[in-house]
Amino acid sequence: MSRKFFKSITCLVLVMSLASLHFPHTVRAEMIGVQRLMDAQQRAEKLDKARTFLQRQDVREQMIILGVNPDEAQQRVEALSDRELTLVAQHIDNLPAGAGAGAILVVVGIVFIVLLILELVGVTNVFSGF
Amino acid sequence: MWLGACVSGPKILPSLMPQRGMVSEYELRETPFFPQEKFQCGPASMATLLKASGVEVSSGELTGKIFLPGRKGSLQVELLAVARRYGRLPYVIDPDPGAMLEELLAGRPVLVLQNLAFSFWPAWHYAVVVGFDPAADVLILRSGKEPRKKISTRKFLAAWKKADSWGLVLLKPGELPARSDHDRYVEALAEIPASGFLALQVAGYETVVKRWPDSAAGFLGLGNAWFAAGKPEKAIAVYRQFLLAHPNQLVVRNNLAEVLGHTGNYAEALAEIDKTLELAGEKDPFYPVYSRTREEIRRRMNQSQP
Repeated sequence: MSRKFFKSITCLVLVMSLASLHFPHTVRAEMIGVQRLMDAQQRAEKLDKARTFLQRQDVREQMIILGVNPDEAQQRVEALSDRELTLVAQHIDNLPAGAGAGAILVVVGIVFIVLLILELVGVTNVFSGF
Repeated sequence: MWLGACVSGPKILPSLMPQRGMVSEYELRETPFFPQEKFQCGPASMATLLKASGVEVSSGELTGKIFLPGRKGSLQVELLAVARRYGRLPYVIDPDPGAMLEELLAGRPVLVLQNLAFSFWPAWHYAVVVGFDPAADVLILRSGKEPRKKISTRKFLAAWKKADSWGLVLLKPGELPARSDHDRYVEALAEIPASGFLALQVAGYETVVKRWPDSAAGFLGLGNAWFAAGKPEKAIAVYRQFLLAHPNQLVVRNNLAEVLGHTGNYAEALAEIDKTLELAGEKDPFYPVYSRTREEIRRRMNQSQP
C-alpha cells in the first residue's frame, strides 16, 4: 500500500483518538447484568420444555394427523418470544396425564398446544412441504 | 331461631401453621408502633419494619420519601426503593399465608397490603402483621392507629387476597428469607440498581454463592458489584473462581474480559473474549454483546498506545 494511504489512515486514527479524549471516560461497558443472565437461563429452560414436548411420540402423532411437519415445528419454536414461550410452557405444565377415559383430555390438550405453537410461529410454512 | 355470631366455621389458622400442633399465641412484641396520620399508612408501616430491623428512623422522616400527596397513598415501588436507601433488602414474600407465618416465626414482621373494601372500589391499606393466635383464630396487626389490632384469619385473608396477597419483609444485608428460593432471592438482589447500594449487593450475593456454590447468577452479581464498587481486582478473582468449575459460563467470561480490559490487561482480556466468542458461536444470543466487548477492549488498547 502507498505511503499516502498509510498517512491518511494515521491521521484518521489520530483524530479519532483525540476526539475520544474529549468525552468522559464512561465508555459503554458491555457488562452483562444478573437480570439478563436470569432471563436467558429461564428462556433456555422453557425452550427445553417445549422441545421435549414436541419430541413426545403422542405429540408427533397428533402433529402428523394435523398435517404438520414435526421437525419444522421443532425448529421454529426457537423463534418464539419470551412471553410466548412462557405461555406454551404453562400449558405444557397444565397438561393432564390421563389414561383410559382421561386420554381424550390429553389429546385435546396436545392438539391445543400444537395449534397454539403453530399460531405463534406462523402456520403456513409449517404446513407446507410435507 | 337466630344463631349467634359465636357459631362460626372451623378454625383456619391452625391448618395454615408451618408445623402441626402450634397452638400458643405468638407475637413480636418488641416491634415498634408508629400510628399513622391521615393517608400515611405506607410510611408508618415501613417505619415500623425499618425500626424492627434495627434502623433508626421516624415516620415523619419517611413521609417525604414515600408519600406522594397527589395520590393519597404510597406506591409499592416507592416502599421498595426507600428500604434500600436505609440499607435493607426488601423482599416480597410468596403470596400465601404459610410464607407470612414462616417469616413471623423467623422473627420478622410482615408488611401487608389489604383491600378493605370492594374489588371494584378498593380501599387500600398497609399494615404490619406482628403475631397470631391459632386458638382464637386471629392475626395480630399494627394497623392505622391500633397498636394491637386483632383480626380474624378469615377476614384478614379475604382482604389480603383482594390485594393479590402482597407481603413484604426487610432482610439485613446477607440475610436469607424464611423460604430460601435461589431464583427469587437473586431477583430481589437484581432489582437493586447496578451501581447502587453496593454493600447491600455484595452482602447479598456473597450469601448466594455460599449457599448455592454453583450459582452463575450469584458469582456474576458479586463480580459485577465489586466492579461497580471500584474493586476490579476482586471482581476478576470472583469471576475466575467460578470459571474454574464452570469454564463454559460465557456471560461470566465476558464480564471477566471486560474488567481485564478496564484494568489495562489487554492481552489477557483479548484471550478471554476470543475464547468466549469461539465457545459461543454466532448463533448464541449473546454473540453480539461479546463482539462489542471485544471491540471495546481493542479500542481501549489502541487508546492506551502512545
